[in-house]
Amino acid sequence: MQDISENSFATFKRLAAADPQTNLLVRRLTADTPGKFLDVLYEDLDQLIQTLQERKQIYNNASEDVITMALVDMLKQRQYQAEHDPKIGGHVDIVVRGRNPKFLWLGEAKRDNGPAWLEEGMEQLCTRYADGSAGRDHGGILVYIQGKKAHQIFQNWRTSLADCTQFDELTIADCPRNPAMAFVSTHVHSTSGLPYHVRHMAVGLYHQPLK
Amino acid sequence: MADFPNFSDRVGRLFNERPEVARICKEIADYVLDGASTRDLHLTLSLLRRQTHPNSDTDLLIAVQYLTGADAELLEPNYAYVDDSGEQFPIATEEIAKGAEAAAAALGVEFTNEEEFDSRVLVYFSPTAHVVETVRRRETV
Repeated sequence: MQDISENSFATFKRLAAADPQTNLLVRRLTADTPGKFLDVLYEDLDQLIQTLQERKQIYNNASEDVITMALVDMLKQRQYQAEHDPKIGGHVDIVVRGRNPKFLWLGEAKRDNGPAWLEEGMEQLCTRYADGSAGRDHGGILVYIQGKKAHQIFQNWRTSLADCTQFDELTIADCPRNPAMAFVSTHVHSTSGLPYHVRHMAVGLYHQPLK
Repeated sequence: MADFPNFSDRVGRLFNERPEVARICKEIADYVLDGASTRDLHLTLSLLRRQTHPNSDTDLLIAVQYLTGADAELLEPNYAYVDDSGEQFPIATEEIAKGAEAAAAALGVEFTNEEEFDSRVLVYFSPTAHVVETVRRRETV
């Protein structure tokens, strides 16, 4: 039998078991359903948010565009077709497609300028850009929090969103991946009439060293 | 690289903090674009390792990750089952995604366990249809 051990799928899987990056690579290559695409995308996004937070001294005063462009570049490195500000029903902040272009995820990124500003982002995402059709029924709101105590600010947004009446049958649930800094809202999309799921993600960028 | 005029700049910018990854991307791109239309390229990880002499496997995998992505659109992964006689039977990514047992059933080969099946599946990369077409167009001009 031909020796393929160095290049076998088993070897890839062994590498993947030992190395989270290879694990994500294999999962991205084999993501054949919207669910698998989202699963790995959210894991990638969580890692990339961590990277942004590690560079908070750079992004503490940066504009939404600068932070979003950095995130989009990092998504491109990870096999995604990611774009900032393309025209999809308007100029959505982030569009992510997988290797299978049928899988589409839209994201709206906002600096935390208070709940009304974030509510506007949610409205733009859900009523202007997303059509809520099957396979395109998930999106995201990224909240760039440049002020102190991201968790508290983010919880304020969650509380405020729960009071919004413009999103039909809105429910809010913890995100088990990252319950402190992410949550998931679901409502009936006004275009498709189907449930539309939004993952809200906090990016803590406050940086004011005392020494 | 006339038809990928920004490739070098793009990877240089994207991987400005990892110049080794940018270098590997460029080397693989040069290799692939040099006759992608005429050679049946089966680029295994070990071949790419020999070709690019990476500082580490991590750098090589990050480069492969980018090159197989939608942004670069340079390589696509392929899978082939290799039988006892060395004959290769291509397996579609969709079959691989369903898991070893389903892939074995689709091929009509005996399945004993996942590890044994996966050890017979060769993973290699080849130029995307986009690259092959681009190179072909370049060569006919």
